[in-house]
Amino acid sequence: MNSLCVNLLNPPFSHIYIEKGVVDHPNTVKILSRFPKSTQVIIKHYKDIFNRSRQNYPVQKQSQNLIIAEKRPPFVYRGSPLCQNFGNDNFYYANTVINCVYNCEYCYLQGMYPSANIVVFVNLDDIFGDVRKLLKSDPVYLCISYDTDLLALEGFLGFSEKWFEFARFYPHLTVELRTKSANLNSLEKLTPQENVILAWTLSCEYVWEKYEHGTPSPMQRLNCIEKALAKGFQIRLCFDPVIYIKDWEDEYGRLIEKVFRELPAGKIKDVSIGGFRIPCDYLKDMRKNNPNSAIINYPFNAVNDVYSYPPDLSDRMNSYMLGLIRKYMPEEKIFTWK
Amino acid sequence: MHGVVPEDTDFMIMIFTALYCEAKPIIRFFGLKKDTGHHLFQVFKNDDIILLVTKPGIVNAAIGVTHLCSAYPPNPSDLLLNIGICGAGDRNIPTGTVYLCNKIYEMDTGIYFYPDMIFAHPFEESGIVSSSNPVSEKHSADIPELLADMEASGIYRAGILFFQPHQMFFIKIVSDYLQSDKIDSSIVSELIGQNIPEITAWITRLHDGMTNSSPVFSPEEEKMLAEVSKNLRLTVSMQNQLRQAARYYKLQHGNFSANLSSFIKKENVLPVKNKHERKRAFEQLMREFA
Ligand code: SF4
Repeated sequence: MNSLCVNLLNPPFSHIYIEKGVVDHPNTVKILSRFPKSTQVIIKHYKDIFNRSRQNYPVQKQSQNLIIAEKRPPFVYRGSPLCQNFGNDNFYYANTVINCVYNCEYCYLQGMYPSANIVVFVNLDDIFGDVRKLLKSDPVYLCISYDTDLLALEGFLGFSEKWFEFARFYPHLTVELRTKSANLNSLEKLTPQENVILAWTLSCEYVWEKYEHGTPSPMQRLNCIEKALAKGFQIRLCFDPVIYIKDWEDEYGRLIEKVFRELPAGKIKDVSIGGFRIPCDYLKDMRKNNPNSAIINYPFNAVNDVYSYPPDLSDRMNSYMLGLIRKYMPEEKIFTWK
Repeated sequence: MHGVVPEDTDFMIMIFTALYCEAKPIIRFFGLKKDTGHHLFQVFKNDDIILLVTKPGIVNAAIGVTHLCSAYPPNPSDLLLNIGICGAGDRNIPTGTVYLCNKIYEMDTGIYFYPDMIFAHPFEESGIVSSSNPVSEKHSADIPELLADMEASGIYRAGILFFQPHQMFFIKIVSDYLQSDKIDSSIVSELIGQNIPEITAWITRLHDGMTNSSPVFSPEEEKMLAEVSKNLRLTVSMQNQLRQAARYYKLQHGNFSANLSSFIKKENVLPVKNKHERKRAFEQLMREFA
């Protein structure tokens, strides 16, 4: 049972589950003030609700609730080899939020987590503390918006702003905030910084329309990026994941053309390209949850427990994308995931 | 159910009450008939609804749910509904108030259970304490939730083996202020009865709004795939690859029958006599879906 009549559902965040230990945390108080109508349920530990057995991710996705919790160690993780490190050695990521308000059919979160409810960890200071420790020995490259879209939540969370403020004091820290949002209001509140990169994922029209449910259109994202560039933010463009679809060359050709028609290539920090890839275990769960999705039912190749497109197709897609982007950007600013 | 194979396993809503007097108004409302095939529990049903009286207590509740769900395994659009009376720790709550429980605390073990709160509903909401022994009013300060009963956690524990958390609903009607020994069964029936129209209207609407996703392959397509797999003597791994390619092709293009037929018609493919021929034929088959 995967689809439900919309008028039967509670609105998003109708219920907010709050760990007893963080009820009075200032970030909790702030979040709760934004949802005065939500029913609050006090819990002992977020995993009591987030890790329940037999939850239905797609059903929960249709009426997501919020869980407010305390992050326990580890606060910062080593970056996954499936993610692009943009030439940075000390590649880490931190989760202040788990799960996303958008609903991309290919999103690995559906295979990674047992629940679609959104967990917000309010004790950012503990995470900052750990980053500070890491910075004592080496520069750090830190991705803060992998298991969520932090900018899309900025309206009620304000965590992007807090990361910007934190990064200001640590020149050896480079923060990447990945997003598909077009949240101009939130951008207004952020001050551009050399060491914070706003990384926009861009998809062709077809992929957006068919598979990136609830996300702003490519054009809306481009408008937002344009404003961000004008304000002086560091901007990264991520053509990642590139998805194999019918007429993919035309679709992605049009996308690249549009992107560089709208945006001044010279102001863009760098670009990444990467074909769809995912740990085998995650995809198995995703297929079980969403058996009618074409995109995740592609007959991928499994190598070292990771599914991706067959090597010849992967190579063709990468070199096609590279060929297009090279027309606008110098090669050293283009990072291809292989 | 002493080994009786149920004729119709297509129930949609499974209702569990602890007491017959809780079940009575529901039986009457839906015109349920006693199912005499069950000797351990009282079971009542019609085409869409099946109700079991568990008898009071957490363990009885769990056994009752397991019994019925084992006999009639629910499908992903079926619902579990636990209806019963409960005590309230606050005398300001009028008797007859209907609650949907968003949290169940099992007093005996200290474990919490959480049904999903995905669906809109017209009731009050609260957590509930389930305890093997009745909680008395003088201990009301010790219970961490507003309501108390003796079954909800047992229903959840057993229910979660068969249902997902969004399919289970715990509806409790306040009957007393933790003096359950003083309640007359006719009052219990009345309290439940007066709320049954609203509860059933809600749960029926919910059930009607749920749709099962249909299988990707039609029976004919399943037959074709099985036939090709047999004729080519495909290994299990090859069969899985074929099914995955066919599934993707169907979801993208709507149909793959023509591809399979055209492949079968190719004279040089069948029969396959050895591993080498099978490999070659399989590669040729997979190209049909490229
Ligand atoms: S925006 Fe990113 S994190 Fe959010 S659903 Fe889409 S892929 Fe997942």
